[in-house]
Amino acid sequence: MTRIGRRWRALAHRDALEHDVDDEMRFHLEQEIASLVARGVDPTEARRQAYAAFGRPEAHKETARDLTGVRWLEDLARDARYAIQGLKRRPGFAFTTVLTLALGISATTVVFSAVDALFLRRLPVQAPDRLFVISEQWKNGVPSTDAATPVYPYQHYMDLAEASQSIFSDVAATSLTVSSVRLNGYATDLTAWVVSSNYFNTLGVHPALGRFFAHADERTAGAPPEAVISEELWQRQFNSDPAIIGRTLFADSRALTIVGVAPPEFRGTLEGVLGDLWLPAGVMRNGASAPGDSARQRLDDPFVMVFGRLRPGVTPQRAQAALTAIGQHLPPAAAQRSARIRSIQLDPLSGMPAMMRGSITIFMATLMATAAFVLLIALANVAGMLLARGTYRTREFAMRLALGASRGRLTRQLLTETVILCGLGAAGGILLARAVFAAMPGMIPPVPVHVAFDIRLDPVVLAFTTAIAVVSGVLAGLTPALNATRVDVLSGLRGSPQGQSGKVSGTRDVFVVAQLALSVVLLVAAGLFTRALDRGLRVNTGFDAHAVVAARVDLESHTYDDAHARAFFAQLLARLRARPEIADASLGWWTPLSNNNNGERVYLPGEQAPDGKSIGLGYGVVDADYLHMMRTPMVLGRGLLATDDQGAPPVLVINQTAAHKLWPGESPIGQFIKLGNVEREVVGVARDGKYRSLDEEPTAYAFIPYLQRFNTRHYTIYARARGDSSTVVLAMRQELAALDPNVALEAPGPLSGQLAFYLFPQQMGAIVIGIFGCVGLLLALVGIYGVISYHVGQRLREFGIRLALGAGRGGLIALVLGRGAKLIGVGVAVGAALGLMLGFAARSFLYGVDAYDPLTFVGVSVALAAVALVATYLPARRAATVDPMYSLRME
Amino acid sequence: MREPKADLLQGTLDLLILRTLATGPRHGWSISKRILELSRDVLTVNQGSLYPALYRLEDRGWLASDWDTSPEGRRIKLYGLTPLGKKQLATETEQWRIFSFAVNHILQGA
Repeated sequence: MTRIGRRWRALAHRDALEHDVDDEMRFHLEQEIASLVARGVDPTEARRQAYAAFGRPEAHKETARDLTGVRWLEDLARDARYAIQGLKRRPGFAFTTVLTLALGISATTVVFSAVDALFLRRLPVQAPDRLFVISEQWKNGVPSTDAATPVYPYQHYMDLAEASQSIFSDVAATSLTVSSVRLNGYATDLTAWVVSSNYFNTLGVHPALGRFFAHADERTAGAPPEAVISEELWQRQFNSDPAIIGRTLFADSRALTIVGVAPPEFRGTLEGVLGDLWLPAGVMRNGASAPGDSARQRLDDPFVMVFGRLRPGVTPQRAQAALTAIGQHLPPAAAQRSARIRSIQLDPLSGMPAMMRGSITIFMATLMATAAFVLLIALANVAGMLLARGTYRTREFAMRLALGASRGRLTRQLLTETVILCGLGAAGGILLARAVFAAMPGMIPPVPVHVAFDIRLDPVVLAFTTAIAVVSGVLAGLTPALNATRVDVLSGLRGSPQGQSGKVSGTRDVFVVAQLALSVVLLVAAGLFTRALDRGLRVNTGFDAHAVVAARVDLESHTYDDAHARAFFAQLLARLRARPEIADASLGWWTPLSNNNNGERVYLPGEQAPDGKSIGLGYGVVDADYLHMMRTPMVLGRGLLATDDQGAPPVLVINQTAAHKLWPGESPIGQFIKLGNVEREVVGVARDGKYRSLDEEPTAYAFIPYLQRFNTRHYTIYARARGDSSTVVLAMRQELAALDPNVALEAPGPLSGQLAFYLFPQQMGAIVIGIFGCVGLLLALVGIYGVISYHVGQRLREFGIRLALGAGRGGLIALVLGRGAKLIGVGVAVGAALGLMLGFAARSFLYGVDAYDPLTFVGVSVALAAVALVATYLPARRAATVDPMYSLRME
Repeated sequence: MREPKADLLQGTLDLLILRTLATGPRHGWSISKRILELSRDVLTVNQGSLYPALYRLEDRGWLASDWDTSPEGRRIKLYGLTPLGKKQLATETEQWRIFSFAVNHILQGA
């Protein structure tokens, strides 16, 4: 039997082994006795002699156990029991340590699980490593009115697919859209992937029910109008009814037959975006469209992503080189496109698109580093606490060493204790992490597509957390254990803890100062963000978002011509105004503060194009009631009227800034502004506000009646609630459905949500950094408590002498507090300096809050110093209440 | 009746155990008897150190053990040399020769 095999057997069959050893020894003794008796020794005497010669059988067994590893296991169990008893005796220490570790471990676990969800998990498709995204890299300097990143019109996708048949076995294409689908009587916005018919085949995904799209050449008409739905939609809307196959679904007013249900784990090819349905692009462009489709067809948009499955044996490098040549020599009809292509790049298909990968990697790496830092601080703390505790246990260890315990044995015992602490810490960390996951969905900003990140404790994350806990246990426990067991037996027994090196406390001082400084930085940052958030919410926006619900209504992809669309919106507004729960209703082209950029150059009076003086005039295209509904007061003249329609003379209302810039010191009423070749008469001046973003400079702005500039059929509808705004969305849905059940109410929500979205960076900054700051502060408090406790522990004897010699207890407390105050002062000063630097770096997020905002800095510093002093006071009190007789007797 | 007996030199027990097993497997008691016999009743194995030594040698892979039944029907544990043990016996024997030769020389020269 091999050595390992024997050890294993020993561990697995411990009783059998004991039994074997017993048997062997008993046999030996019996033989010995028999042989003595044979030589004529009296049996009783023979027995005595044999046992005397043999020695204690138990000792031999011990050796056997040592060698077989059973001893090790027994020790471990005993150490664990001993450690748990010890921890129960000092619940405060155990609780603090476990909490510290839990905070550190949960920080890393949460960040790592996000990394896991975003980067480590593969798409649930067949052989994802053979799937590559094909992206064109365009030459610079080509004059272009197109988007900066290439998109792939249908014909171009087909050209690419055909030309690269030797490289890819399949080339598929997809883009993401929002589709209004009629469900339960209302049209609802669903996240839809518009895909080429071979999309599922290329990915190697199989349907949970029914079938996917039949392969069709989408350029020729006649592909059947079909749709595939997600398993979740099937469950949620259709109660997992198997008869769903063959049913009709109305998406953007088109009747589609549901042919299949996608498998539950597959929601598309973008991490975090949960597709509800898949629509075939070819069908959308051909037969199935209703007569009179509007000019702009959303589903006719070019694809944004083309990807292919490499043929066996083709390497990505070879494919990329070949593709570039293909892209530059497309058929003559596509010569213009060919000329633009510098190269064609292949990126592995993953849930994280290559273009986002870089910035998200940096973001996650920063978070990971911060979390790791928090964990390290936690470990330093735990090590510090163990170190401090070790000084109190010097006597115990010296005693045990003197009684023959080996140093390795003591070290192992202490490490067992730390690993148990870390195990408990990891358990706490996982609970904390779960709480964070539960709170996460609330942090996703409102966007039209269905977004959810599948962040969870999967086996990878749990393995990571366990590994972290074990490594933490060893890291935090090793130094204190070695230090604690390196006692000089004699001086240890005499009770002078000065055997410890002074270096230990020096290192710990540095740690505590660094921890305090870091907490100050984080708390200052959180404070600044909170102030900015507060300031942002109080900015005078020029409108009152309270109780206003906003939603988008889009007729572009439905069958409305101009006249019908005008009537539709007019009726919709009239119906909304008639509802008892709605006080005012209106519409506009842009939602305020949505970073829209529409505007034109307007020449000052007497100036002319192209060189004359001009200003940029932003404008909103709105309904006559808009300014009233938004509670934006008029300063001069009149507001827009319902009679300012397409038949009436063109008018507009400008704001104070525009009036001041164009006609300083004059009344603008009755003046004319030329916008888009139309001379418009200024009929009123409205009070200034914020239009595009919260932190914009005073902006020249105008409001144009939408009936006079009706060049879109996609508007934001506003409704101000009379009382409770929660019923308004339902009212809007009902009125919209009554007009046309196929039109969806897109992204309904409070207008203040727009502000929330705009302030998202500040809010996230305040929350995340605030949490890290609080964790850091807590750790720093534990750290300073530990350092001062250690300090007090070392000087206990001295304090006893001082007391015996007549020192006052108050004096002793002051002595210890003074030492703590020194550390706190340095830490806070360093932290405040770093915080100033950080504040200047993050100025652009602060909305005019000073980077040296005194309230934040003074507040954080004072608060932190105060709680840190309390943490110092606890051990200080211990120093003062020491019994002089006891501490002197320790000598 | 007490016979004059010499204590074993430290470290020689391993060598003697390996030597007694060179002729075939034995159980613990018979190893100690055999050492006594071969040394003409001069060397007696301190029985308290025999079993720890056996376990140690087994752990090093020089001995292998197996259970057998004695003629009287008792379950007994037999120890035998492994190939590694044979090599170790050769090495230790050689070392002992050099050692005892050197010690003899010193004693004679003095």
